[in-house]
Amino acid sequence: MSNTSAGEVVVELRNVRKEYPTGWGGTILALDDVSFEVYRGEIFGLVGPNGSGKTTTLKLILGLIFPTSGEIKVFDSSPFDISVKNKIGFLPDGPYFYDFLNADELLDFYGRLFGYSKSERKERIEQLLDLVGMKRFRKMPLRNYSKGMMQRIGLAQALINDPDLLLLDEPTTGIDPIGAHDIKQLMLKLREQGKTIFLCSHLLADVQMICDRVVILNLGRVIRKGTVKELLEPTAVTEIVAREVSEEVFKYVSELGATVERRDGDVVFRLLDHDRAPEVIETIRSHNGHVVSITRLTETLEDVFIKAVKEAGAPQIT
Amino acid sequence: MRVVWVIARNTFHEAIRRKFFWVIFLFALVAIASANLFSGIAPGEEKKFVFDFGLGSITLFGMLIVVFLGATMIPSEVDRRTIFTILSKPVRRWQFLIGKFLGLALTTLVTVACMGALLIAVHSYIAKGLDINVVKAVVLAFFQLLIVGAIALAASTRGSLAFNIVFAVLVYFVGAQSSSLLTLAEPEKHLAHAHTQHVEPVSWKAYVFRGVLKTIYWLVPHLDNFDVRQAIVTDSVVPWQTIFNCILYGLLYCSVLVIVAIVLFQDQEF
Amino acid sequence: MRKLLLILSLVILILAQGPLQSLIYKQREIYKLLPPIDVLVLYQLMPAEAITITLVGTMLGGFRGVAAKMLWLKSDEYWHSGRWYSMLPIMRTITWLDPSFVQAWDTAGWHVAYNLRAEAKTEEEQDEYVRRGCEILEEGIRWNPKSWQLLFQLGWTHYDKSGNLAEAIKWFKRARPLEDWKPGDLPRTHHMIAHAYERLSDIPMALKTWKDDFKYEHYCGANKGAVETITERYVVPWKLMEQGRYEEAIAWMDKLLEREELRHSSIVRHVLAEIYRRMGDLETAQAIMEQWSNKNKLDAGARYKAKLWKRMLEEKKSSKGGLAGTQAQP
Repeated sequence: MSNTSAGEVVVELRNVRKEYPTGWGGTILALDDVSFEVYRGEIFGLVGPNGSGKTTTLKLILGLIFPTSGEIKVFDSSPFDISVKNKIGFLPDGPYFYDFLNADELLDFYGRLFGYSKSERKERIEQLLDLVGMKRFRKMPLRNYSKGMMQRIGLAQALINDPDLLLLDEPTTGIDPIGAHDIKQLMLKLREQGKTIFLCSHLLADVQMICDRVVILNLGRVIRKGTVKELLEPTAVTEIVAREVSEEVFKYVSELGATVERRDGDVVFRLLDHDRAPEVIETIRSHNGHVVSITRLTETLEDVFIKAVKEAGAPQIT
Repeated sequence: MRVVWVIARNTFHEAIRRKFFWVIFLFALVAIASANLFSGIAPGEEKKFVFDFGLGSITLFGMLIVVFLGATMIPSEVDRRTIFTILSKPVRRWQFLIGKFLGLALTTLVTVACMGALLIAVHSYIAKGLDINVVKAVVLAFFQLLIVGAIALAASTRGSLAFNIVFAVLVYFVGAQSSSLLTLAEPEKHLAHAHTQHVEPVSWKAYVFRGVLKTIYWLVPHLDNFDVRQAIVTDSVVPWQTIFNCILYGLLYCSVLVIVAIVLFQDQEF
Repeated sequence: MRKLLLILSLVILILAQGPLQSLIYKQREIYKLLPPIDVLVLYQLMPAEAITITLVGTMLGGFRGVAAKMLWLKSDEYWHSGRWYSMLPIMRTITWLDPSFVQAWDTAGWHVAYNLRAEAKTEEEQDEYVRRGCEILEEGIRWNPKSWQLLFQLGWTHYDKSGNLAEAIKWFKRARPLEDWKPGDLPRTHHMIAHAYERLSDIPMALKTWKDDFKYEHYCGANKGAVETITERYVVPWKLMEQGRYEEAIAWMDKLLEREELRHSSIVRHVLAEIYRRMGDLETAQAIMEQWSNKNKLDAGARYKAKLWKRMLEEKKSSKGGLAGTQAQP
C-alpha cells in the first residue's frame, strides 16, 4: 500500500451540498455535507448504492453541474478552470460516443480538442489502441461495437491526454471477466506511474482488491471513509478450531468474550481480541485438547458496506 | 478557435451522416429537378413556376433540415452523454456552443448551395440564361434558414426536443409574416396602400391588441426580409444594398441568438 | 462579470437591430419587395378570413405560387360547371396568394366585367360589374406594372364595356411601350389606340396614330386603309367645323350617313355628335348618341357619352341661366 495520507491533495470536497430542482419549485437533496480528499498516486474508491450520489459527485468534480453550497477543488483550482481539464481523463458510466465514427476517428477528434499535432495524435492513438487491445477494430464504426468494446474505447479516450487524474465511472461493469481483469491491471499499472485514479463502482470485490482508500456514500451522505485496512480491521476476528475440548475450557473462553460454535465434532472459537489467542491455545492444550487451526479473519468490504448501509437506515442495495 | 472548429467539423460530419438529412435532402433535390415537369399547369409562366417551386422547396425542406438538426443538437449530446466527455476535456461551454452553431451553419450552407445550384441550373435552362435574381434569392434563403437554425439551437439548450421543434417552426411562421404584424399594428400608416378608407376609432381593446402585435413584431426575427420573390417574378431589380443589409441583419440576429444560447447554456446542468 | 458582458452585448445588438430593420423595411417598400398578402386590405374586407388566409399563406411559404396554381385548376372546374359566382372567392384567393399570377388577374377582371355583367338584370348592376372588373385589373396592374396583358385588357374593357374612351387610351398607351409582347401585340395595341381616338372623335389624333403605325414597320394594310378612309370621309368636315362652318360640316356628314356602306358605322355618328357638341347643341349631340347606342348595343362609347351628356344637360337645367358647359370634355 502506498503512503497516501501524507501525499498531495488532488481532489478536495468540503461540506458539499447539492440540490436538484424538481421542476415544481421543490428540490431533491442529492448530496449533503460531503467532505473527502483524494491524494496523488492513490486509487480512490467511491462506493454506494444506486442513487447515493456517486455520479453527482463525479459531475461536480468535472464541472458539469454546480454545487448548491460547499467547496470543490481539483488540483487546487475550481473545477470550472479550463486548465484543470488538461490533467483530467474521464470515462462515463455506460459510455456512448459518436457512433458514426470509428475508433481512429473518435480518438483523433478527442486528440484535436487538446490541440495535439497530427503526428502526436497518431502516435498517441497507436499506443492507446494497443493498451486497450482494440487495434483490430480500429476501422470498425462504433455503432457496431459491443458494450465491452465501447468501454475499452472509452478508456482510451479518457487516457488520450495522459491525464494525472483519471475518473472512472463503473469501468468494469458489463465487461467479461478477462476484460475486467485487464482493466484492473491497467489501473494498477497507472498507479505505479504515479497517476491518481478516482473509481466509482458498486463491484465491491474489485474495489477492495485495488483501492487504497474508500468512501461509502449513502443517500448523499458519507457514512464510512478511510483506507481499506482501516475499514476492514475493526471487523477482524481470530478463529480457533479445536477438538476434544473440556467443559472448563468452554467456561474460560466464554469469559474472554469469544463466541463458541460446534461444527462436525469440532469446536470453533471466535476471538475479537487477537492478543488473547496464545492464552486460549495454551488453555486448550493444557486440558488435553487439540488445536486444529488458527486463522485471522476479516469481513469483506461487501459485508462492511451492507452493514453500514443498513445501520444508516437506507433502502437495500438493489 | 481551434476547439470551435474541431467541434464544428464534427457536427457537420455527424449531420451529413444522419438518415433523415439525406431523405429530406434528396427529396428536395428531386423536387427541384422535376419542377419543370409540373410547370405545365401554368402555361406561359414556366420560368416563374420553376422559380416558385424551386425556392419553395429550398425554404421548406431547408427549414425541416435546419429545425431538426438544430433542435436535436444539444439534447442528443446530453441523451447520449457524449457531452460529458467533451466538456471534461479543455472545451469551454461557449466554444462548444459556437462550434455547434458553426457546424449547423456549415451544414446549412452545403445543403442550400447544392439545392440552389440545382435550381439555378434548372432555371437557367428554362429561361435560356442566368437570372442573377435567382442567385440573390438563394443567398437570402441561406441566411433566413440560418436564423431558423439558430432559434432551434438556442431553444435546444433548455427545452425538450418536441418543444424546440414546435417553438422553432412557430417562430418561423410568425417571423415570415412579421411585416403583416406591423401593418395590423399601425393601420393608419399603411392606409395609403389600402382601398378602403374607413378607419375605426381606436378602442382600448384595439390599443392593447396593437401593443401586443408590435411587441411580437420587435421580438421575432423578420424572416420576410429575406423574401424577394415579388421582385423576381415581376423581373424587377433586387438592389445589392438591400441584399447586403439583409445579410447584415441575418448575422446580427444570429449573434443575438447565439449569445442567448450561451447565456442559457452557461448555467445548464447535465 | 462575464455574464454581464454577454447581456450588455446582447442589448447593444438588439438595439442595433432596430434601425437596420427600419432601413430594410423602407428599402423593401421602395423596391416593392413586401410580401404579397396585403393583410390590412384583407383584414378590412373580411376580418375573419384574413388571419386564416395569412397563416395558410405563410405556411405555404415559397409554395404560395404553387398553391395558387392548384386553385387555378379548381376555378377552371367551377367555370366549366357554370358556378360563376363561386369562382370569385377562389380568384380572389389566387390573386392574394400569388399577385404576380397575371393570367389570374386577367381572367378575374374579364369574368366580372363580361360574364357577370351579362347575368345582371338592371343597367346599374351591369355598370357596377364593369366597374368592379376594371378595379380588379387595376389592382393586378399595381402588382404587375409591366404586364402588357393586364394593361391591354384594362384598356379593352374600358373601350368595349365601360365606354370611357379617354381611360381606354390611357391604358393602351401604357401598354404600348412594353416589350414583353407576343407577335401581333404591338400593332393590336396601336390600332386600338387609333380606334379609341376615332370613337372619341379626335380625328387629328386618330389620323396621326394611324400614320405613326407606319413607323413601327407593322404595315398590314389596315393602317393604310384607315388613313385613306379617314382622309376621304372626315378630314373635310373636321376642318369646316374647326373654322366654325358647322352647317357645312353637318351637311357633309348627312351626306355620309346616306351612304349604304356607312349604315352601321359608329365613327360617323360619333363625329356628327361631336360637331353638334362643339356647335353648342349638346341636346342634339346627346340624342344622336342615345339613338345610336340603342341601335348598336356594342358601342359602349356611345352609351357612355349619351349618359354623360344627359347628366350634364340635367345639371344645366337645374341651375337655369348658367352659360353651360359647352367646353366639357367627354
